[in-house]
Order: sequence, then C-alpha cells, then structure tokens
Amino acid sequence: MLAAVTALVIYVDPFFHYHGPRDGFYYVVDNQLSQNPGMARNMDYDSCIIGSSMTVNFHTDDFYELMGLNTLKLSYSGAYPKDDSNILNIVFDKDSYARKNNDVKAVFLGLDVPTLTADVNEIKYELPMYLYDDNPINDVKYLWNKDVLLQYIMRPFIQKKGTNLSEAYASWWTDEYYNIQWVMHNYEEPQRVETEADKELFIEQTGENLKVNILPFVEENPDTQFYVFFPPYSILYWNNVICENHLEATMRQYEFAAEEFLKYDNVHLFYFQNMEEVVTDLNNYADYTHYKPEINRYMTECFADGTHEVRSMEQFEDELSSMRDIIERFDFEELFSVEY
Amino acid sequence: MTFNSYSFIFIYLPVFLAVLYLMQIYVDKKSADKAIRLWIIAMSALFFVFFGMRSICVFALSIVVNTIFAKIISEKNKGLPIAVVFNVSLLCAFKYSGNPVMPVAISFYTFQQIAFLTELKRGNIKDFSLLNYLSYILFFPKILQGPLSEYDNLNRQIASLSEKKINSEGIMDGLYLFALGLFKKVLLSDILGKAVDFGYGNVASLTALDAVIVAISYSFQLYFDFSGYCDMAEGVCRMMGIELQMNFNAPYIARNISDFWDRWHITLTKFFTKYVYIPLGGSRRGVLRTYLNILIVFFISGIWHGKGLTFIIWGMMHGVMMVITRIKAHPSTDKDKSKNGPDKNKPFGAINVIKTALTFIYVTAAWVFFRAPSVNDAALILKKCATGIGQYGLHISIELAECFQLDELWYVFKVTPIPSWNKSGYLCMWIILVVSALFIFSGKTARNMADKFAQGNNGILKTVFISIIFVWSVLSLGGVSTFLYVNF
Repeated sequence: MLAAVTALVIYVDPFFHYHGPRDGFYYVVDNQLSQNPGMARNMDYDSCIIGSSMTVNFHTDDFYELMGLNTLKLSYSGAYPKDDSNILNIVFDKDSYARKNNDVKAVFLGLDVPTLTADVNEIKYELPMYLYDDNPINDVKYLWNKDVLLQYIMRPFIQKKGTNLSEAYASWWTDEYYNIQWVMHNYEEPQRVETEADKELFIEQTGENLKVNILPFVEENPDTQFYVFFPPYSILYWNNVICENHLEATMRQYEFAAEEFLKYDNVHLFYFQNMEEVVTDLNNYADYTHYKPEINRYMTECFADGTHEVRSMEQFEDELSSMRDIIERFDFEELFSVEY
Repeated sequence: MTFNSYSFIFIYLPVFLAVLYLMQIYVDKKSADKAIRLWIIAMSALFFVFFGMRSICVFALSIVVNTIFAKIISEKNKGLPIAVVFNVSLLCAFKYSGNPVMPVAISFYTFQQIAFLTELKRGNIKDFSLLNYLSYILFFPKILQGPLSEYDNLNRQIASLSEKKINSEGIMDGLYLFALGLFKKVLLSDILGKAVDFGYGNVASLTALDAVIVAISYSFQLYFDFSGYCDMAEGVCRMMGIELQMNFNAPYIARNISDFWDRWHITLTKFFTKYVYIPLGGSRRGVLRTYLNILIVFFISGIWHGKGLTFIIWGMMHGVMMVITRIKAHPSTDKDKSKNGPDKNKPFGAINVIKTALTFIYVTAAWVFFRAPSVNDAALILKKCATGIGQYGLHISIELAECFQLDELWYVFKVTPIPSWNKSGYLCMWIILVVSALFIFSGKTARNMADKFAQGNNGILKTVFISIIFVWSVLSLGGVSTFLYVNF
C-alpha cells in the first residue's frame, strides 16, 4: 500500500520535487514553502520573480507579453534576505533540470529595505528541509504525506481544477478590499519614539545582508539581468518611519543599498516609491504597504520600457529628494482627523 | 524521537528489533543477557538523545546520583530519605521554578527512581547491578510516559529475552497494537485536539453546547492520546517478547471514581498507593486518617501533573469524590462484585449506565480544570455547560465544527448528495464524536483487541485491516502534535 502511494506521489509529483508538471493532471500551486524549491528546480523558465508579498500579484503572462520572458514566480510572503538567497541558490544550481534547459535571462527582485536589518540567517518560516536538501531518505515526509495525497492530488483530480501558474500565490484581497476605509480601519500607528535613530544605524547590517544573501548572485551571474526594485509602499509606511523616528537612517539605508546595486552593469534599479499619485491614494492599497494588482502590471511595463529606472547615484538622490517632498507635503493630520 | 515519527517507525524500531533477534539467535546463552542489555541501553540512550542537551544532562545527573544512592543503599542499607529528597527536589526545581521548558520525561523517571530505591531498601531487589539498573531505567518504550514499570517485573522480562527467539505471532500481535495506538494518536486524538485548542483559546465566545462539546472532546482526546502512546509502547514490547503492565482499562466506563482510578493510569495509581498512601498509614489508622491520606495522595497527584491552582483543584476534585465514594461504600455493595465479575467492561443495565454517565460527567468536569489556562476559564466553561440554555445556548459555532473537518470525509461527502463542504463540518464533528464515544464506551481496549486478534481466525482480513489503519496513520504523521503527557 505504501509502495502504491509512493509511486502515485512520484508520478504526479504535485510539489515538482522530481519532475515538472505532467500533462493531464491538475496542479494546485498555493504553498510557497513547499512548492517553490521544486518549481525552481524542475520547471521550464528563463526568468523568475523573487521577493516578498510585494511580488505575489505579478502576472507572469505580463512578462511574456511585454518582455518575451518565460517567467516563474518564486515569492515568499514576508521573505527575509535569507529566504531570497535560499531560493536563488536553487535557481542558479547548474545541475538542475531547469538550468540544463535554460539559462536565467532575468531575475526580478523586490527589495524590501526594512528586512535588510534582519540577521543574515533569519528566515520567515521554518522550511520543510526534506524538499530543499538532496537527502532522498527524508523524502518520505513528502511521499507519505496525507496532505500531499488528499489536498494536492485527490482534490484537484476530483474538482478538475488547477492553479493558473501566471497568477499563483496571488493575495486573497479581492477588489473591494483596496480602499481607504479598509486600510485606515485596520491601521495602527506605531508608538512614537522620542530619540532619533543614528543615521548610520542600519548600514552595517544592510551591507552584511546584501554581501551574504543577494550580491553574490549578481556577481556570479553576469549574463543574468537583475531587475531590482523598491516597491511603492503607501504614505502610511513613511508615517511609521516618522513615528519610529528613523527617517534619516532609512533614507541613508536606501541610498546605501542603491549605491551597492548600481556598481553592477547587470543590475537595473527601479525606484517606485515616489509615484505620488499612487502612494498618497490609499484606495490603491489593502493595508499600509500592499498595493493592488494594477500597480504590479504597471511595474512590469516599467521593467520593459525603463520608466522609473535609476541609472546613477545622482539620479537616485533626486528620487529620494522627491520622496522627501511628498512626505513633507502630505497632510497626515487631515488623514487621521477622519473617522474610518 | 517519538513513536509517531517516520524515523522511529521505519529506521529505529526495525534496526533495534533486527539486532535483538540476531542476538537471540547467534549470541551464546552465557553472553546473550549482557549483550541484549547493552543493546537496550545503547539504543535507549540514542532514543533520548533527540530530546536535546538539556534533557540529556538532567537525566544523566539523575542516573549518576541515583546509582550512587543505589550503591549506598544496597551496601549499607541507608540513605533512602536523602535519595527521595534529592529526586523530589530535582523534579520540583524544574517543574515549579518557572522554567519554561521542562526536561523531557522527568516526572516519570523521577518516580521510577524513587520506586527502584525504595524496593532496594526493602530488600526486594536482590540482583542489583549497574547493567540491570540502566537497562531498567533507560528502557525506551516506557521512558517518556510510562507505564511506571516495577523493577522486578521488567528486569525479569528483560532477563528472559536471552532465552527467547523471534516469534512471528508476537510480532504480528505487537504490530497490531502499535498500529491501533498510532491510529488513536494521529487520527482521533489530534483531530479532537484541534477542537479543544480552539475551545480553550476562545472560552468567552463559546455557546453552552460548544462548551459541552469542547469539554467532552478533551476527555476523549486525553484518553486517545495517552492510552494510544501506551498501546504503542506495549506494541513495541510485544514485538520484543516483553509485556508491560497495563495502564488503561476502558476508564470511562468506570462506575465510580474509585473504579476510574483502577482503570486510568493504573501504574500511577499503584505507585501512589504503594509509595505514598500505605507509608502514610493507608486505612490502618482510623477512618478520618484514611480520608486525609486519600486527600494527600490526590493533592500530590495534582501537583505532580502540573503547576498551578487548576491542577490542585483537579486533584482535589478526585480526592474529595474518592472520599465520598469511600464513605458511601459498603463491603456488600456491588462495587467489588462489578470490579471482579465477568461483565467488568460492559456498562449495561440501567443503574450501571447511570453510574457510568455520572462518573464520566464528573471526570470530564475535573478535566476542564486540568486543561483550562486559568481557574476563571474553567469556571466559565463549566458555568456555560451547566446553565447556558438561553440565547445561542444550543447553537454550535461553525468555527468549532470546522475544527473537526477531516479531509478523508470530504471525499466521502463528495460522492454523496451532501452538497456543501462548509455545512458538512457539523456532520464530520458528529461522526468523529460518535465513533469516539462508541469505541470508548464499548469497554473495548486496543490491548484486548490485540489479544483477540492473536487468538482468532480471519488472518488475511485482519492483516488488511491492520495495514489500512497503519498506512492511514503513517500518511497522517506530518504535522502531528506532540504527546500530551510528554510534559508531565
């Protein structure tokens, strides 16, 4: 009986641990921790999306339409730099089926600057290591797993419904959640901090994280184009920064990160945070950072045509300066004076 | 490492048994006992290693110090009081000093150490040796949650292993019992556990019927969890050719509290009787002193089970009811007859059904204190159970019902006319509660089912049945919680 179960799981392989998807089966793709490593290893793709929940609403079809790239989404909600590093290690593994068939033309990396202060080994969630390592013995946890059998083989088989890979991992917020009432009703302003953070406070750890978890992939893969972007958080994110009294330190952190990336010819850096009409209109958001899918589509268009791309430090200083203007001009008092 | 892990079932246990069987065949009789004991000690130590450095160090300290005490007691016949103080202090130091993580199994091995040294002092252990002591105290099937085995019994059985040979009936019997225990743990206990966790995490929002279901679910969960573990332990032992002492005997069909404690955690009851109740004077010092002794035993049982007022209340609820039962008992009542009669495990007959129901209700009310995070929460649940027939009283929250959702049943519903998975949560809940109740109140135990299996016919059918529940349980291992009693 266990042999039959083993054979079935290996044949269908809903987590793509042994091979890519088979024709005639419906695959449910909704488990980033369990399915990303297999997809990265065994799918056919020539570019990938890496990052946190800021990247889950991209449609990979858009990348094909606008850039001709066969893109795979490998997001981890709440990803820390180490999470990005873990999956990039698999993406660039030369021995994988994916790499034997295609080179990586492009990596689209959503860079959440606040996470760069995390420990270099910190990961958001414990990983099912049996799907990440090369040890065949612990594969029993995958092969003899009721959830795999019932949720990922039987259920899609009965329902005759799988996931559209282009939209995999899309956030659960439907259109009606993207409005100012919902955002403000759920927003909690952080405690105000009296003492201002030192301007250089975040630099050491940010440098360490970039050096250990991100930049090695950029350096070792000069033929791959890295589209690194700072996601357009709403104005409320900046309100948090002000309340926590580290605006100067944060601006310096952005400056530092940008400087590091701009050293590489194969990096295309995009700064979307000063799109004033977007970030100041909370009807574009479901909470203080998460924007609606239309913004993802717009960012994809920018990757294709170079809008919002930053090519020098001088230009980046201008972008930060315009961001400061937006923050200074924004009427927070009025925003908080209304009952939501 | 726990019994409900892939590594134990598919690597550790087969390797342990294979080497044991080979030793029984190939090692000469003179050396076999020593070799088998060394093998048991080595593998038991390996079993324990997986619980981390802190647990290993505390257990090692306990073993080293108790070995010294054992030496002193066996040679000079003194030192027992200090040894008991040391063991109790070690337990208290970790259990009541605010340590967030207790060393694994400390409550169980501390009691075993005390029992061992006491028997040594009483002269009931004639053949003390380091090898015998270590193979007894470390013996992995009972190391985590008991049963609290008597040294003499277990040591004799370990010694007899060198005389035994591999026995296919014993292996099948053990496998059957192990599979039943695994099934009780990973399917029944853990699905009930989800509802229990939800209920005790949302006490204020429970309706009256929710509270009743949560309370009953915990009674069932605790039984399936703890007795499931003991069934697995016994299953492993039967595969070796050893029989552990019975720890559960259909406890929820008990007809009074005294009967309950003759059936629930039997080896703990024996321990308290032998090493606390009788040394306090038992029933030999008059009626009032007897009642006081009973209350002391249950007070100690309460604080042994956990820190805080809730555990003391739980212990005292049992102690007080035990005293009341004792007052009401008369030598000619049917209690003793029913305990020894042929229908001991059958709660038939109107009076017996009422007695069983009342006992179960009382035990369940006491378990509410055992599980609740605070006395106030426990009181609120009991108040809801007893009085909340008003608005929403008989309504069952969908959130609670959904805790019982079992994927396997979803597929059954999919091919039946039941249209909505959301509403089928209620159906799942009733199916799981009714099936659990039928098993629990039938008076059947996994142990006697295994005994019947060994004796009866229909070998192929039974083998298929074992295979199905075993495979079902193995497939359910991922994400299974830890054993409830492992922290006691």
